[in-house]
Amino acid sequence: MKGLLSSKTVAALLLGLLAGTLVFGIALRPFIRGGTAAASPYQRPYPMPHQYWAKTDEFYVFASGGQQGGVYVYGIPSMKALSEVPIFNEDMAWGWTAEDPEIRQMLTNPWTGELITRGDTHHPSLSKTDGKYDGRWLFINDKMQARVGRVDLDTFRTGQVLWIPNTTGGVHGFNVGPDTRLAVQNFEHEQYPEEAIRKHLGLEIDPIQGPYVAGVAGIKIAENGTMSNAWQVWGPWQFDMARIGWGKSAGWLMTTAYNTERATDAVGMFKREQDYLFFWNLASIQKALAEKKYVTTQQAPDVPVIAWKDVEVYVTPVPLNPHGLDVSPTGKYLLTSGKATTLVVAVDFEKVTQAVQEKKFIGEEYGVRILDPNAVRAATMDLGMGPTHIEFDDKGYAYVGFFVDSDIKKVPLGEPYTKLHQKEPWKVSDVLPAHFSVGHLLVPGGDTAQPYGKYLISMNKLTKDTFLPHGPLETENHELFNIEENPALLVDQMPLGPETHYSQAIPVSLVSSKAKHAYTEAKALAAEKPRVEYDYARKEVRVTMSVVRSFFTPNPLTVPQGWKVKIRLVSGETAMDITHGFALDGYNVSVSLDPGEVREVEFVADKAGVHWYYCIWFCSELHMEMRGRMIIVPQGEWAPAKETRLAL
Amino acid sequence: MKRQQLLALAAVPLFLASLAFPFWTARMKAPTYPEKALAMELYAYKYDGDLEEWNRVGRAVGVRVPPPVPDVFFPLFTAAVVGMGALALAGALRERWLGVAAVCPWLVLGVLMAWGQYSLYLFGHSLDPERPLRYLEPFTPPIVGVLTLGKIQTYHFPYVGSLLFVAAAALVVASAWQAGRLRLAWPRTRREAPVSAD
Repeated sequence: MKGLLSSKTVAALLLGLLAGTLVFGIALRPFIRGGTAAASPYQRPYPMPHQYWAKTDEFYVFASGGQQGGVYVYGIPSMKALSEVPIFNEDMAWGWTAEDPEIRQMLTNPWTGELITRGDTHHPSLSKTDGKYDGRWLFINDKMQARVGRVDLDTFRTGQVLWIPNTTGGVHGFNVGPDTRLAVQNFEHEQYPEEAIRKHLGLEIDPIQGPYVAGVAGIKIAENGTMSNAWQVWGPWQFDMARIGWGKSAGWLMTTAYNTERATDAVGMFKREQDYLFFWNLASIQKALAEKKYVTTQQAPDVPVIAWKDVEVYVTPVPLNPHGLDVSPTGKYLLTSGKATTLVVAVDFEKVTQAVQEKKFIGEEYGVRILDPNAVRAATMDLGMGPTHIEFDDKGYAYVGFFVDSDIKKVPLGEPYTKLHQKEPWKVSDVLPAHFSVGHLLVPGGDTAQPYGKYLISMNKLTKDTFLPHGPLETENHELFNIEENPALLVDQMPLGPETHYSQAIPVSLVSSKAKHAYTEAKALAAEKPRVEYDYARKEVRVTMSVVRSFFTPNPLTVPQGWKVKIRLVSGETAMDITHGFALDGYNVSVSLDPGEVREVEFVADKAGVHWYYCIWFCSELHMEMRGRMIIVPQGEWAPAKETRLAL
Repeated sequence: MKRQQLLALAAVPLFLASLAFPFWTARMKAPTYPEKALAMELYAYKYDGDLEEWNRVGRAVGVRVPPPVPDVFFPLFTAAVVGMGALALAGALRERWLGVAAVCPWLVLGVLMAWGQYSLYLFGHSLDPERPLRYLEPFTPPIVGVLTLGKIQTYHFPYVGSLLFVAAAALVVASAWQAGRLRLAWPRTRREAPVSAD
């Protein structure tokens, strides 16, 4: 072997290696380094490098769209709108239409069979593991129809819509628990429920005079994200906000009620001096289920309905018409604000458990014991007019939004956070002006065990003169503050469509690595060829149609007038962002087809004539030419000889 | 075992390993594909890469990948690579085969490059007459080099399989050199010629 490594051989090998490195290195360099192509006469200076925004944004924001029916997605700190995810409303722009039977099924009321395309999203709640965001799913509720949707964060597409029984709608607070096994949905609008529930509660309810009843629905979330109705607890009161505790408050569900008066109009709803914050022992709900202390209804025979008196629940008085209800990162403090007051209360959960043990009650209502507020509060703060929601940062501060004052107050928390901020707790340390009328706030991770801090978004209900005028209805204003600066710095403002309630922000790294560029369904179906099947017995045409730049196959497609048309659209695309659409002239039919996706459309071909189907997304230089003919042959003129036949 | 035998033996696995890698590749960079360069790869037994995607881009130009080759191309290509391995093995066992084993791989490489270049000529000269961009004249992509069509640039170059093949061929040459089978044209041969009888 020694002889093999002569100086000549080594020199020859080194020379060869050098030559190889030069040849292959130079040729391969643009691909290895991801560099740009050689200079071209078309190159122009560009104000910033390509991917500047993709590489500098730190968080995704998922903002509820309110009556838009889905969520908006944007990045911070760029404040660049990225996407809208339709959930409860049909939205042709993003390909969310009921011609697709899968989407139709999600939007159809399972008890009435009615297609409902109106929704009002309120509270997004990201999936969590150990109380921290994990980037799997976003859950969000629909106030109007009592539904909860799940958005899958690999596709940014709605994967499930769960309908909640026993209510006509009007839900509000929604929260996913620290391990994404349980979510809760509060009933805000009081109900006149089925007789089984009325009897079980044992309360006098007049359908016209009231007072009505309400409750909270428990939703089980399976390992794969599938939601199901698990239980409901009903009682005399409606509920507004909901938080499932963690850390110091683990095992408890907290809710607020702004109408403990049980009134039916606005004046009646703030007659009292104070309302209640509720503490529900989640184990006691499981115990009631195990002991079968529940009823079921005709509408939902598999959903147990428990009465409030059969579970362990306490209340404590809080300032009138509470709205915000938020839990500090360790689960110790619950901050709640009285909308109709200037007060924000901090309840120490450790004091709550102690007060329960020491029986520090000041009375009871409907059998629910009332905890002495002086025994459970850490602070009662007079901070300003119209306090709304609260978020927390990573440095021991709470941020409270004010609707009337149009600002945000920064307040240092008590122990154990004083060692972080070294300030006197519960005294305002900064005021952030907002434009105008703060509803919700968000700090990335600000409702979890791991706030990321750094930024705060104020979701302002009114914009007024902040942007160019655009008619009597002004858009909403999302304002970005840098809260690492002291005082906090207003960095940017973004007009965004109606109407955000709560939003959540999650680090880019938890989502972007999982985001798909293309679906793989179509690949699995690659062997499936386009085909057309005429079913004379059912008067139905079933089609498998391949969709790929710049062709629909089959084309043309002949259909007898009045027949049902079922088309399975199979995208043959694999490149990112090459989305196609299928819109049919003169029909209420338009769907989108992402790369590699399989979608279906179903409709009745009731209008005769030549109707073109065309791609609605500008997919290639020959996008306009990407179209085909659906020839709907008038009744009486059809003959089997007119069937579309495909060469196989 | 002699040094020359070891060198020839070492070439055998390199020849065979080259089968597992592309011999040649083309990479297309187009403005609408910032996420990746589309790849077309030539193995000794198949074409591979983003061929479907390439054709979607190429439709406007009227080209279809991969460049056309006759049915016998891949069987011949594979057989030639295996054959070179067999020759190297023969050279390691029987010295008289070393000369042939050293020369043949370069002939194979030459034939392949000529054939490849001809395929690329055919590729660029059989444009679809129905192509949208009919103003584009037929063209010949280089087997090694860059082709630019507007803002689309295609890089063509030998790849890992070729590198292994050339390395193996070089080892066989070194082996033959050691064995004195390639010394005929080398000046030292003359110096070593027998001196005069006086």
